Amino acid sequence: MTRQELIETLQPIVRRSFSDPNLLITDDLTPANTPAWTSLSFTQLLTEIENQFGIKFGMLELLQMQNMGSIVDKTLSHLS
Amino acid sequence: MNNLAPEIKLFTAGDLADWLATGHSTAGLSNEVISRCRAAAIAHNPYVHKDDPCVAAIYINGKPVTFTATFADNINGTVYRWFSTLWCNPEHRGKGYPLIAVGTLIEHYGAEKCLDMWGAPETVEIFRYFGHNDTTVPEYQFTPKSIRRDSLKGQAAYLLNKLKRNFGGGRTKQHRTFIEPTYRLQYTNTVDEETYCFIQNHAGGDLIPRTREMLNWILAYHFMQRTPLLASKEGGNPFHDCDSRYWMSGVKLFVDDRLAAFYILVDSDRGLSVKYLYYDKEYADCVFDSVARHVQTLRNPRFTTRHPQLADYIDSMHLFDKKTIVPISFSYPPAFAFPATAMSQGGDGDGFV
Repeated sequence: MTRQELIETLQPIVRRSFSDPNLLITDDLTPANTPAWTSLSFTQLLTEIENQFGIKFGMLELLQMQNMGSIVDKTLSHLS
Repeated sequence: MNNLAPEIKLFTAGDLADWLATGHSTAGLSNEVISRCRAAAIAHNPYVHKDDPCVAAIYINGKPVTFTATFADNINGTVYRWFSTLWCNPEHRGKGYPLIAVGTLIEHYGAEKCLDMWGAPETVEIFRYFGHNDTTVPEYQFTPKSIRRDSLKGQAAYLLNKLKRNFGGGRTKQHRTFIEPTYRLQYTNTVDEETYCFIQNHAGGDLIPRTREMLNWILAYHFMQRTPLLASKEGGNPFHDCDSRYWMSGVKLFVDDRLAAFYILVDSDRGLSVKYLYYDKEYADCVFDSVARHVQTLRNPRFTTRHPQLADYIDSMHLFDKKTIVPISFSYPPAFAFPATAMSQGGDGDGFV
């Protein structure tokens, strides 16, 4: 799966988790510039990604997820 | 350029005990991470081993931005870890740091041995992430438990507090009874069997019908945190653990000699707070009126409660200025399906998560 294909797969998951039907995934999305990005929605997003791809993030990986770009990259590294 | 990479540190009960005993910590503990009184409550727990990690803190640029702590409890022979404290610097919320801090400890002990004391949406979701699909907790077979007081300081603090309670008079005296025209209040520091039956019958939609043992732990745990000798040594810290004045008690309300409500009342510098309110709906007006009168007698200018109906009632009585009534709640995202009948009590009951 390419990065772009992954982003297209993640798009509806992110919109659902953040309850924002118009949200577009960009690498620089962060809690600071995305009002819907709360601790709760972030946890829901992680749960959905893990369920969708059958993967499990480690605690250190979660610690390194500073923005949407890093979430995409960490997911991609599990799939490759 | 500052290094902003977050780093997680775990501290064991031994680290806490060493720091308390010597005032120094090679592990890097400080008042900024956890207050000494809270550390004492965790480290002196009879079910904790010195090598057990009890505190997880996330640092950025050497400063703690998130903190969580567990205390151990024995339920029917199995040691569980209650998560009772969680704090995240507002500037760093939404980054999943609480999930990581809590998760690191959950991964250490195993999800089946960890329990969520908060029942708040955020923490329910964190526990769900680690495989907890419900918020029920194991039932205790209650046996009276004494709190171990190993240290001289602990013993002295206990005795001082006991003396203060027994001879201090005023509102620090336990089991003082008020007589009101239609109801009677009784202070208590124990949830007895009758009271616990009442709580079970009137837990309603509360997310976690708390066990009898757990309610007793809350009373004991808070008492241990606030032991006066330790508390007097505390300075300010970002986790708001210590007030210069703090008093807490269970309160039983009887109407015509029938138990009509139980709640925990906290009177501190941060205000009066009614927590864990369980009441017979038949006596709702009487219960709210009683609580309103009760809090008025304590003359604290600030009032907090998580109970919306009680907050509305107190508000309508104009006992406190509007600005001093602080409804504490979490922000529920629209998509979160929260049971309509559920009453939420988040955090560790102190209003800070």
